[in-house]
Amino acid sequence: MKKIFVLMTKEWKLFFYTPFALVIVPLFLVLCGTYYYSSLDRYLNLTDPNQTLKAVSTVNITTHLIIPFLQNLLNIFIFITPIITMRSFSEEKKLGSYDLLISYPIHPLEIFLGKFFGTLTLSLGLLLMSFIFVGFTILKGDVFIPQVASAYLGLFLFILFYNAVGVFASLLTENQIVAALIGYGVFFSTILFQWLAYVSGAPWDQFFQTFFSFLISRVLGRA
Amino acid sequence: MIQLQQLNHFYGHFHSLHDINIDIPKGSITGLIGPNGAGKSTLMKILAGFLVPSQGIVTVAGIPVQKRPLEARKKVGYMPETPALYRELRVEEYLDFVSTLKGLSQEETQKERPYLIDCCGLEKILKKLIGGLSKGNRQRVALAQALIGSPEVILLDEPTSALDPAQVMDIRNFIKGIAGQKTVLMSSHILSEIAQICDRIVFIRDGRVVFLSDPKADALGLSQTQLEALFEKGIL
Repeated sequence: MKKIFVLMTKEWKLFFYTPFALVIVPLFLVLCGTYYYSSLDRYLNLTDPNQTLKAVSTVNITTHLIIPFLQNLLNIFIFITPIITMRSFSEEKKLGSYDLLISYPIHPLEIFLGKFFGTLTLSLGLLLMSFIFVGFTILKGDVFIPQVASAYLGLFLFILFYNAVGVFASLLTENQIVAALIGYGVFFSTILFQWLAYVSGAPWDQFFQTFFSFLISRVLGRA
Repeated sequence: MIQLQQLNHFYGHFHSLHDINIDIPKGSITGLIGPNGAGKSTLMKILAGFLVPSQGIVTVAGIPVQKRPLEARKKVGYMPETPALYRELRVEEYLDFVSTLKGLSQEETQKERPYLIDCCGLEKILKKLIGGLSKGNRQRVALAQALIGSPEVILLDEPTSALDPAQVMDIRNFIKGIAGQKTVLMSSHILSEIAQICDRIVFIRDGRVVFLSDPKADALGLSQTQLEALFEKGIL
């Protein structure tokens, strides 16, 4: 457990000692700000009493401001997670420090978990930053907290999945760009299959819903 | 201390090591010499535990490397040819990091640290970022990480490559200093260096051990120059 923690903190140090963090963190906040602004703008339009076509009474701040913002947050994580995870193993393999790392008496699973929790906590740190916008809205508006909490739980589970796939992709190659592309490929496939399941009628909707999970299990089984 | 029996290794279809049989006694300093691509680094990597041999048995300090890799790695300190250290960490942080990965407690780390600083000459660079160190100083840090945990076997892959003469002398003196206490296996392609430091020598060419003996020329009835000439011509 101590070894996993040390590997995890090393990941943080490498992240924050390089210009990497200086790019990722502001980029994430700018994207969050942009999405929050667009969600807020849409919400204000919906609640504008002059817009007679809208049923103002059915519009609420949770469903029409926070939830759309959190949905967009998921897209930001699809974009950012492979950038965070791509270096975890690829860079070490390319530089040769991975050879030195596995010459120590440490189990490969501990190395993987150290890397995984390292990138996961960085992603969760970003998720926590997004709470600036949500927290401000909670302070100022009448927000249905359980709905927001469940949305955050969903985001947390997605981030777990994205990080696991990202670190796994990084394990497959020495090239960081290829690792990131594998991650993007898997993430966009999930969206594609969801969309195909949504637009196609029976029996294809069932097929697309199950095909992706089948594909992933086959790929992981082979690896 | 180190036993290799019928060791074979393949990179895909390429047969990189052929039927290697070596027995290295405890406390000896053994030089592994051969031209580039001979298989020296592959052999080192197998002993360090991060390459699994295709065939054969590897035993370090009585522990079979393939069956109990984690236990075997505790007995081995490895310094790679090109030490890829974390540039973003300070030397002190890096040594702490390696100590924890090698399973040392805080007390053991504190107790061992003065010895490492002293023997590897790290006092002036302890607080510096590894990325800002010269190649020679990085080599010292790499040597220090290999010595953490006081392993019984030290593997040094081309330890003096790209060092200035003063640093080469430092490293050589250090290796001579630990003779008898540790079992050292060092690779090099400089015969004179091996002859100066080591008490046993293993010539390796095209993945085969072609010669295994005492490096002192007298024992062979050949001068060192003659030995080098034979080596260059590919006879040895």
